[in-house]
Order: sequence, then C-alpha cells, then structure tokens
Amino acid sequence: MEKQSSGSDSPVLPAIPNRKPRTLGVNPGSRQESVDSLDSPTGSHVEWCKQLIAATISSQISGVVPPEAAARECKVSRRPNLRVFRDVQKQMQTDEVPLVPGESVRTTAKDVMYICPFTGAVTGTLTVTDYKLYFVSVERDPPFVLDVNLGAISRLETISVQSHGENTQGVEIVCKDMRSPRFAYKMEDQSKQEIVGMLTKYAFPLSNDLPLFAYQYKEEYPVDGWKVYDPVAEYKRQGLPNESWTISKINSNYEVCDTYPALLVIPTSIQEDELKRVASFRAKHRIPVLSWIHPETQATIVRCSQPLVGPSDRRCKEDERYLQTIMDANAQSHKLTIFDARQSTVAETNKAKDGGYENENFYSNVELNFLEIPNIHVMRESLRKMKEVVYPTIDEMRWHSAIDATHWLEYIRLLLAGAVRIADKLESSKSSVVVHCSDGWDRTAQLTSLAMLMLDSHYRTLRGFQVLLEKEWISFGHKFASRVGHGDENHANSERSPLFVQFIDCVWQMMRQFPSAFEFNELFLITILDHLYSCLFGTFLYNSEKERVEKEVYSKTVSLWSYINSQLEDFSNPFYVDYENHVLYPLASLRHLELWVSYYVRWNPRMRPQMPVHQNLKELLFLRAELQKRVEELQREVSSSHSLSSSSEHTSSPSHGGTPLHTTV
Amino acid sequence: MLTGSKTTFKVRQMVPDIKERMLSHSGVHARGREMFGLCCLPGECVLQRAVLVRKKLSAREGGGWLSGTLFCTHFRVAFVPQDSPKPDDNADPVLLGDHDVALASIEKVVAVGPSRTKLVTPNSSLKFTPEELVLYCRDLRVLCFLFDRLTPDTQAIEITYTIAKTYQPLKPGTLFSFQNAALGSIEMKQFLSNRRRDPNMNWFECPADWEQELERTGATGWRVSSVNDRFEMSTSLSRFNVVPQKVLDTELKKTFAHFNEGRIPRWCWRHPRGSDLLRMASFQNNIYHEKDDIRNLELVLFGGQQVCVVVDLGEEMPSPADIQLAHTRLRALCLGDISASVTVPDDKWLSTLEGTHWLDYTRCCLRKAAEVACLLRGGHLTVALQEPEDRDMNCVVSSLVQVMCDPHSRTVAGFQSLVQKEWVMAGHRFLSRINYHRDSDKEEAPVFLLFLDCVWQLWDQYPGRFQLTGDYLLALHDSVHIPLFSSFLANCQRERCRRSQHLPQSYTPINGLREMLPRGASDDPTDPPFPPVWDWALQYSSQRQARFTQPVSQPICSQPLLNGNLNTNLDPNQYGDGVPGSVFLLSRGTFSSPSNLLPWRSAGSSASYRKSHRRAPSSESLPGLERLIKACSLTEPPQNTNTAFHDPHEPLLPLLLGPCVRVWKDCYLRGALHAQAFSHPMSSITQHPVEQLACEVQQLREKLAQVSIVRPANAAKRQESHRPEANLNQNANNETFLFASSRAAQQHHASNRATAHPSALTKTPHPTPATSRSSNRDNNKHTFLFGHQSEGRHVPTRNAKLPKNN
Repeated sequence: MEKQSSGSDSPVLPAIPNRKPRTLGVNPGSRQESVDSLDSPTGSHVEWCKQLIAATISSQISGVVPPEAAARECKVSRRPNLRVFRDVQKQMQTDEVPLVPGESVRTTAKDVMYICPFTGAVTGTLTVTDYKLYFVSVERDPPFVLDVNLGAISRLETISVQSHGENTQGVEIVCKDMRSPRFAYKMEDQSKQEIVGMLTKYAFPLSNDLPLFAYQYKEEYPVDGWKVYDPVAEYKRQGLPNESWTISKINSNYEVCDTYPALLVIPTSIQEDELKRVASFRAKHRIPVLSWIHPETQATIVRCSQPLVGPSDRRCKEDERYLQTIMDANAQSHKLTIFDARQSTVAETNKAKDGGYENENFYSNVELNFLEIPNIHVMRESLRKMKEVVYPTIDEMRWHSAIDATHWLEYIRLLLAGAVRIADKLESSKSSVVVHCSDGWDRTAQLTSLAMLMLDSHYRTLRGFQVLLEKEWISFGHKFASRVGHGDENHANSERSPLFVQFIDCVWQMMRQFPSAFEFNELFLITILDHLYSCLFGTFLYNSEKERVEKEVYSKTVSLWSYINSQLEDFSNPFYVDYENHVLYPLASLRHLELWVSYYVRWNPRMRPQMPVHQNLKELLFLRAELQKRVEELQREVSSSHSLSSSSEHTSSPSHGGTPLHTTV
Repeated sequence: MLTGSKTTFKVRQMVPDIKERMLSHSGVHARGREMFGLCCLPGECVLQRAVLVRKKLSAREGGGWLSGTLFCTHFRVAFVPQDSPKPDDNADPVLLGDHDVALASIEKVVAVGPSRTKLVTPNSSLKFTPEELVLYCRDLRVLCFLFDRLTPDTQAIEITYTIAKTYQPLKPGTLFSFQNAALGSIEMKQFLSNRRRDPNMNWFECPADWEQELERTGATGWRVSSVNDRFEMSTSLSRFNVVPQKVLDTELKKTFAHFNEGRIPRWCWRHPRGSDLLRMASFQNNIYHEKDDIRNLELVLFGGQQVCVVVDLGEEMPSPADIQLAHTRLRALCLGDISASVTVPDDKWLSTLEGTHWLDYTRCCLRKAAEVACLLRGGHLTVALQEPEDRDMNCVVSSLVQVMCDPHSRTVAGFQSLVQKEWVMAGHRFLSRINYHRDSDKEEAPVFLLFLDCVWQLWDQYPGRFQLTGDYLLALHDSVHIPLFSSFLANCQRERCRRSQHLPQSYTPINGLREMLPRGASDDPTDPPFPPVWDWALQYSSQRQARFTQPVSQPICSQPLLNGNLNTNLDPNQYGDGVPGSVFLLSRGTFSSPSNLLPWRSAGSSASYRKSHRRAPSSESLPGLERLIKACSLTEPPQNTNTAFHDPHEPLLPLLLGPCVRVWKDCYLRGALHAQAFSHPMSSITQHPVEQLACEVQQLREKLAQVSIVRPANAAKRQESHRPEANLNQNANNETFLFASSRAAQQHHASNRATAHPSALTKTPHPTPATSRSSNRDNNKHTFLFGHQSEGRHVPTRNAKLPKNN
C-alpha cells in the first residue's frame, strides 16, 4: 500500500492512492505483486491524471450513491473503486519515499522550502534519489507532494532568495517539461549542502560518468515492449517485399549508413554498387528508402536526406536512376513528388554547404515542393517562449496574443499542412513521394510519420502507434539523445530541440479533430512525452539503432512499451471506432488548432483538466458488460430449470458480447 | 471541385419555369403539402427550384457533399436530399427541415462563378452562371450549394435571383411579410393555436407558476403580487412579481416610484442555503422619501434577511454597445467572406480573436456571476443585482448564477424556465436588442447570445453536470435569428400581450391567483399568435431534438427542495454587526458600505431613517463577506478539488484562466468554409456513441427484467445467495446508475423511429456501422456501433483546395 501512494505531483490534489491496476489478461493473480508496483514508476503525470479522473469519477458517483452502495458495487464489478482506498490514504507513511525497483535514495534534507508559484511557500522534506526529486510537506492537508524526474531537468540555477532569510540558498530547477520549481534552504547542515551536488550528479549522469538510470531500473513487466516492433513483420503487413521492393540487409552492419536501421526497403532492381554511389550522394549516407506503401495504388512514401548537390549543381546518375526506379515502382502515376521540408531559401543556402535539393531539370518527371518549415532552432526558441507564457503565471488578458507570438501553433499548422499535402499526394494523385529535409531525421520523421498516421489506420491503434514511433523515429535515427540531451549537463547545446514534442502535439491535434479515430488517449501521449525525458526506459535513449545495439539497450533496459502494454486500458480511448480505411485529413488552420493546454499548462493548479466525459462512456461500457453477464447467467439458470419450456425462447439473447471496444474498464 | 471549371458543353435544358410556378400555386390548394418532394407548410409555395444541386455538409454533418434539390419559397431556402423519403402529409409541419434556412436568417447571398464571386443583391444582375451559391446566415452558418453540370443554367441563375430578391435584408416592415409567409395561413394558425405547451417547464405567466417556483426553491416569506397586473405600476415588468410577504400591495405601490422604470427589487431565486437573489433597477434619487416609504423600501430590499449586498452591474460590465461591437468583430473574424477580398490572415487568428474582446466579456460575466454565487453560498443574506435599467446584465448575471448553483437549471426544462423567468418575463428587450425590424440599430446588442456563450463555457468545462447539451445551446442560438417566436418578438410582457390583442380584462380579483384559464386551451387569451421558441417540435425533427439532452447524465438531485435549511456552518450574524439592515455594495470585487448607497438613508433624506436606526452599518463585517468571495477560488486555486464535487449545491465555478475561456467553435466556426471540406468519420454516426450505448444498456436491462420474471419462483432462494447479482438488480431498479431509464427508453423510441425511416439525416456519403444497423432490435447487437467496415478503402471527397500557403 505504501507503494501505491507514490507521488501526487500536483500540489493541489490530495494524494489519493492509485487505483490498483487491474490484473492483466496475461496471467492474473500471480502477477499481482509486480503489477502492484507497476504504478510506482509511472511518473508523476500518470498519477496526476489518474487522480484527477479518479476524483471526478468518485465525485460523480458519490453525489448519488451512498458510499456503502458504491463499495458493494465494487464487489459486484470486481472493479477497484477509489473510495475503498480513501481510508488507506490516512495510514500511509508520508515521509517514506516511494521508490521504483532499482532506485535508491541519495540524500534527504529536512526543512526545505518549496517556493510554489501558485500556492505560496511550503516547507517539507526533500529527497533526491538517483531517479527523482521528491518533496513532501505535511504542513498541508492532504500532504503536499512534488515529484520531478531527474531526467526532466534541463539545468540547475542558484537563485537569490533574500526574502526567505539570511544564509539561505535557493535553487531553481529548470525542467524540460514546462516547469521550473524553486527551492530554498538554510545552509546549515551537510545534507542540505549536498542537495545541489546530488541533483547535478544524478540529473546529468552522463556528464558525471554515471550510467543512465534506465540501466538500473529493475522492474519486470509481463510483456516485453522490445518485441513490439519487428521490422519484417511490419513490412509484411504493408505487403512487402513485392516485385518492386525488397527488404535489404545491406545495412545489417550499419556500414552503408550508420544512422539507419539494419533492415531497409529499397527498390529490387538497384544493385549494391549503385546504392553505395547513391549513398555517397546523400547527406550522412541516408539513401532514399521506403517508409510506407499504399495497399492499393502502390504509391510509396520514401524518406532520405538532402542530395549533396553543392554550389556547382553536381549530378549523380545513380541517384537520378534511383528516383526513376521509385517512380516506376508505382504504375499508377508517372510523376514523383519530392517534398523538401525546408524553407526554399534555406535549401538554397545549403547548396553552399555542399547540400542542396534535387534539380527538376536533371530528374525527369519529378516535382519539387518546399514545405517552408523552419529549422530546429526556431522550434526550440518557440517552445521556450511558450514556457514563458504558460509558467508560472498566465496573463489572462493577453493570453491569446501571447500564444500567437510564440508561433508554436503556426509551426504545428505548417507540419500538419505539409503532412496533409503528402498524404493527399499519395491518396488522391496516387503518386509516390520522397520526403527529405537536410539530414532526414527531424522534419522528415515528423512529416512521414504524420502522413502515415493519416493514411494508415493501423498506426492509430495503440500497438500501431508504437510501431510507428519505433520505426519512423527510433530506428530511422531521430537523434533523441542530442535533441533531448539525456543525462547531459550542457543545456545550451544547440542540438537540442523539441521536435518530438512538436510531433506528439500534432498527433494530439489530430486526435482533437477525429476523436474516435484513435485507439489511444491523451494520457498515452503525455506518458510518452514524460518518458521521453525520464530516462526510466530505454526506448528513447541514444541517437541511432547502431548506438542502441552497442550500448545493449535492448537487453539492459526496459522498454516504455512494456509498461504501457501492461496496462493498456489506462491508455485507451473508449470512443475508438476502427475506421479501417479512412484517410484523415486534419484541418491545418489556426482556427482549428488549439494549444495543448493539458500538457503545456498542466502544472498550473488553476488549470483543472476538463471533466472527462469519456468516463461516462466507460461506466456505460462497464455496465453493459455486467448486464450482459447477468443476462447470460440468468438465462443459463432459466434454461437449466426450464429446459423444456422457455429455453428456446431465450437462447438467442446473450449474443451481445464481442464488441471490439474495451469493456474491461 | 470547389471552383472547378465546368466542361465547355453544357446541357441546355430549358425548364418551363412559369409552368412550374403555376403548378406550385395550384399545389397550394391541393390537399397534399408536398411539392416536388418538398414538404411545404400550409400556404407555402415554391418560387423556384434547382435540381441536381449538391450541398456541402459541415464537419458535424459528416462532411462531403449531399445531392438533392434546392428550393426557394416565400419563407425559406430548402434543400431536399435526393433519396430522402416521401414526406408524410399527415405529420405535423416542421418549419425548417434539417438542411433548410429561413429567409430571414440569410444575411448575404454570394454567387461564385468560374472566375469570380459576386455579392448578389435584389437589384444586381448576374453576368455569369453561378457554379456555387453561398448563403451567409445571421446565425453564423454558411451554406454552400454547388450547381452540378447538369443543373440547368436557367435554374441556377433563377434561383440565385429569387433568393436574392426574397431573402429581404431586413428593413422596417419586411418582417411582417416573412412572418406571414411562414405562419399566416389559416391552417397554420389553426395548427399553432392547437399546440400544447410544454407542461414540464415553468412559464412564469400566472401567479401559480411563481408559487411553484417559490415552493421548488423552498423560499418562504415571499408572496406573488399582482399589483402590476395591468402594467400600471411598471410597464416593463411582468404582471406578477414576487415580493416580501410583509409588504402589502397598497404599500408596495408606493415603492415603484423609487426605482427606474418602476423596476422594484424582485425576488428571483433562493439558494438552498437560504440566501435570496433579487434584481432591481437603479434608484430614483430625486424623490422625497416619506417615513412609511422607507420602511417598505427596506422591507422590499431585505426580504426576510438581515444583510443585503447590492451588486452593481452598471459599471464594470460590458455595455450593450460593447457587446454589439465585440460580436460584430467576432462575426467578421469567424465568418470570413469569400466575396470580400480582405480576410484575416490565419496566423493572426488568436490575436485578432483577443482583439474582439468577446472572450473578455464572457469572462467578465462569468466572474461576476461566480462572485454572486459564492456570496449566496454564504447563506442568509439577500443579494440584489442592480443595473440602471435592470434589463440586460441583470438578466445575464441572475440567470448565470442560477445555472451555476441550481442543478435544475441545467436541464432543458429548467433552463427554459430560467430564460422564461429572467429574460422573457423580466422584460429583456429582445425585440430591440436583436433588432428584427432593423429600426433600432443603436439598441442592437446580442446580450442574450453573450449569455448563451457563457452557458456554453460552463457546459464546456462541466459537461457532465448538465443535462442539456451543446446542441441544445446551438439550437437556441440559431432560433434567436428567426423572427417567428413570441419569446423574442417583444420587449416585455406588456408588448407581448398587446400584440396578441389580449390585454387582460379590466377586472381581476385581488386574490384570484389561480383564476387563469386552463393552459393549452385553444381560446387561451394568453396564447400569442406566434409560437414560443420552446416549441422545438416546430423547428427540429425528433432526431435532432434527441440530441438536446445528454443520454447519460447525473440524475438531477430529485429533491431540490431544501427550504433554505441546508447546514451552512456559518453564523448568520457573522457579517452582520447585529444591526439589522446592514447593506453593502459589491463593486469591482470589493465590498464597501457607502453612506449614500440607499438614497433614503443618505444625508438629505435620512433624517427619518436615522431616528429609527441609531447606528450606521459599520465596516467591521466586511472581512466576512470578502472571505466568501475569496472562497469562490477566483483568486486562489482550489485547495481541494474533491470537495468541490461532493456537494451538489456547490456552484459550478468556471475556470477563467486564459486557456479556459474558449471560442465556441461549434457555433462560430461552423461557417468557416474550409472547415467543411473534409469528411469526418466520427460524425457519420448519426447517434452519439454514448447514446447508442445507453440504448443498449437499456435493452439489456429490459431483457434482464424479462428473464427475471420468467425465472421460477423457487429460484428466489438461490438469488439470495447471489448477493452481487441482487445488488446489481437493485441498483438497476433504483436507478442509482448513471442515467434515468425513462430517458433511455425515449431514446430508444427515437432511435427506433430513426431506423424505421432512414431519413435525410441518416443519409451518409459512406455506409457506416451506424447505418448498417438493422431496424430489428434484436439484430443490432454487435453491428450497430463498433462493427467493422468491410468495404473498400474510403477516401473523403476533398473538394476544397489544399491550403496552399505554408
């Protein structure tokens, strides 16, 4: 039970103990022990969201059902009800820090003041482990808990806290997830002097010659998330290989391109030596490879990096032939469209740096489009501005113009509009597309994965989305380590940029516009983003598949999908309807985009997330399942006692079951 | 295809227009109301039609295009989808079909040709054949019709002309012909006079109605006064008003002169914790206060309470002119206009939105109402809303307070009663504010629409606490723009009565509270010729009405009757300093007790007052009140979100932070043309999934009941042992679950009907699980909601051009 009390991160919410995770279908009962502890590593937000939902549900019920009845209801349903746990809350040890397996406490300091920007300063105990910072104060009822994953820390800054007394030191913990908690403490004893040192050491393990926490994390999950993505199976699902495309092992030792995965889908007719020449003509040797093929038209999404055209407009016959082959592989169209994600001016200047873009004169039947998306530095700056707008205080009167001024939504719009154009090219014009930016691992990944999400309903399922991320982002070498800066002290590194956050934001925008088209919910997206930073799981570590193999990520760390797939129902969307063959075209207009308030502004306690209506549906689904069961039971009973008379009349009715929705709520 | 060029050879098909028109006229006299597939109202005649037209469906309607026939009558522009079922002649007339728009709601007609767009006015001439016809409506809808290649050119031109000529950009005087076209026929009049009123809602038309409200809220110490029965005391007040029991009518009569327009403090609502909400106009200052008057004025203002807080809504709230300006800007921003060259660039959308101040005003109203709600929560005081005229912001705030605090107001019936009470009867000047006659441009201000937006904000933040839905609010929003409803066609009850030529008889017994004629009788003198807006069946098909309420809603607290005795844990005297009659002013979030707040207490005239009250109210009690306001968490984050939910009487306090006050996109942005371009899978399900589930749960429950009956009696013992089951059953019977079964049964009924007539509504461009539903109840178990589509790949028809600018 103590474990379940793991952090309420939100300063306003009472620490309601977690709902006990339902036993998973895999092997109920025996897993109980470890399943119980599943909740602890979930990171703060999961708890936070769950508690909010929980608070809402219980309140919704409580107005109506006397607690006793609710408890009974629980028994009927075998569904854990939060109210049951409410009493437990009081018993919990508030000074005990919930730890995940493998986590250990590094230092504890009492009488530390958390300068909460929302509710004022509060004094309590600060604990630093090798995974998180945990602050608890019993000054308030319920106890105030703040829980920050060290991985989310971008930098530590000492601040002046004169107002809190002499000999007081202050530290501001600037986080990557849109908050900056501040602490103040007296420089009295050893433990307090250690705080900053310990924080620095464990927040930036790589800079301090320590391993990332993911290597210490010892949780065991009933499912293995590393098995989620099997490239061969995924390509097979797409109908590959076929007569035009082959799954090549040419890069199995990462020799052709060290940032690409081992398995690549390339045109069948391309010879190895040709391919190598193409590789030398493309930046970072990122040759054009297939990402997705249209099941009917055979039109393909191909991704690569910029051609090394240079200032002298170099040509590469093999590259030209290669693109010709890609075009020919699709009998439906005699055109090939290249989408260059960059701004045309930037593409032009890249020529001077030996990069560039395809010259339409040299590539026959090729149409080149620039999507005019600014680079990673612009995006980083945009999100930085956004943080200023949303944390800690919000200017009510200037809110909209302040959001406008960050241009964040504008860039979201550009990305979505670009992806829509790509998807439309494939779907309506039936022509294959080649997508690239400079290196083909940032904007390219954003665009191809968004287009695939629009085109292929499989990627809108929980598993499918995991595959999409594993494939387009992780295996194709989006430089997560550089962009996020896992465990790295150098916060000013210009390589950092929130491109993945931006992509997830786009997904969220699509989810808003097509609420029933996605199997996953908002919590799923927020969880992914939190563990993008947390370093708890190995999923987003390192820059390429090659590095991950070298660092033995697959054997020594746990996959995020292990955790997620162990409790899928928390992450699933009750409204989901599988629109199998629908292509989604989100509206890429600022009027129809919204700021993802429940992610960016979630630390503000005045921002209560919207009442989750879907809980109503979950309740109904649950109720239906119960009633179905009951009808069946009764019918069985009736037919056994009345087998002569009335059985035939009723045997047909219990056929309700088998909805593909998640009745296991 | 949006502006795709027509092929060069056009099918020239001369349609004998005149003949058609004659046909249509003769049709009027025929028994059937159907004309070319259009179900006409009695007396309605088709002026023009165009065949093979496609209507662009909004995202909510499922997107894509729907082909059918476009009509223009004297009253509306109608669109009948191709394969819609034959209209049933015996069915009650519905003013507007699902795809129709009343001529009076049309604001602008724009014809789109191959190379240009043109605003078509009654006098303009078209030099090209329109390929597309865009109707901009007052209710912020934009209807877009595409003429097919096969649409005869003459029809395309003619119908554009006809619509442009008949839609009547409203001028003084044109309203009547429109109303006549809609409701003028004898059959229609007869039909309307036989309509029964919704008995579930309170109309606040007779004393009994008010008494019912007093009883519902548990208010004691108040009575219904009919002193204004002939509008002699105040022309703009309703006939019946609730005043303190202690004040006799003869005494009451003297108080009217002390208030602007005679709008004395009147009781609106009692909070379960025993506070009363009052509203009044500003004081008349230039009047001598006699000693007796003062006693009565004090009584009227304080009701039975010791403390009174006057909430000044005059200064800090937006003025009607502000609201009008903001709304005009918002319209221009949201609607866009393809005929105008200047459009707001997309990347400035949020800043421009902020510049309209519409959301600021929404926030302002919500904040004020939340403050009042928190004050009332404190218990045992009167809160009197004061506005110079008591006819605009008082309506907004008093009704918002009730939406926040009274769960009953969040049901459709309760909400309608609320609007009836605080707007229609209280004399909000609908006619001038909506400016139907185009003769009160200076007065025009969509105050009511601002209120609807505020309610939408609350609904958006607490959807589960409302029984009504966003669709309902939208329907009400749209109805405001149709000048046919008695509710909106007058500025006060007196005008409404006059219009119906049924001023009350010269004599009404003083105590004749229940002497009114029975409601719904055809000769009911209070029955106006115009239907009330609440007669939704006149406007909306039953399927669309079904969406007005949530399928799953919390049972509304069944006994809202609390007699004001809810435990408050508050010392009733905590903010009084022992002196009865302390009065405070709440203005700009702070309390004060200015000596001249009540004119009869202030210097000049207070000699007589001072004699009876030695002590002036001290300011010691201010902190108590301020604490109340603070508690409403407008300035502080909620300390415990849990407790806020537990008590059904806790007000729904809106979050007013920047990101929390949002644009009512379903309303303001539904006209944005590009928004309609793509298909939306979700909406191809005609019924909301929750509704369908609710339906199914109900079926299961019925089945369960069935089986339980069949179950042999001797199994009863075994049932005892199955405790969980018994509980479940019990729960089902007691309806402790999330929704009321009667509601689900209705739903069920509606859905059965819907399946029986696969009407225009259920027509979707692509077969979906929903439409594949069989009408057989027992067969639809697993297919109806979540079935897989087995057809080929579906691609939404994308006719709009892709956003080119990136």
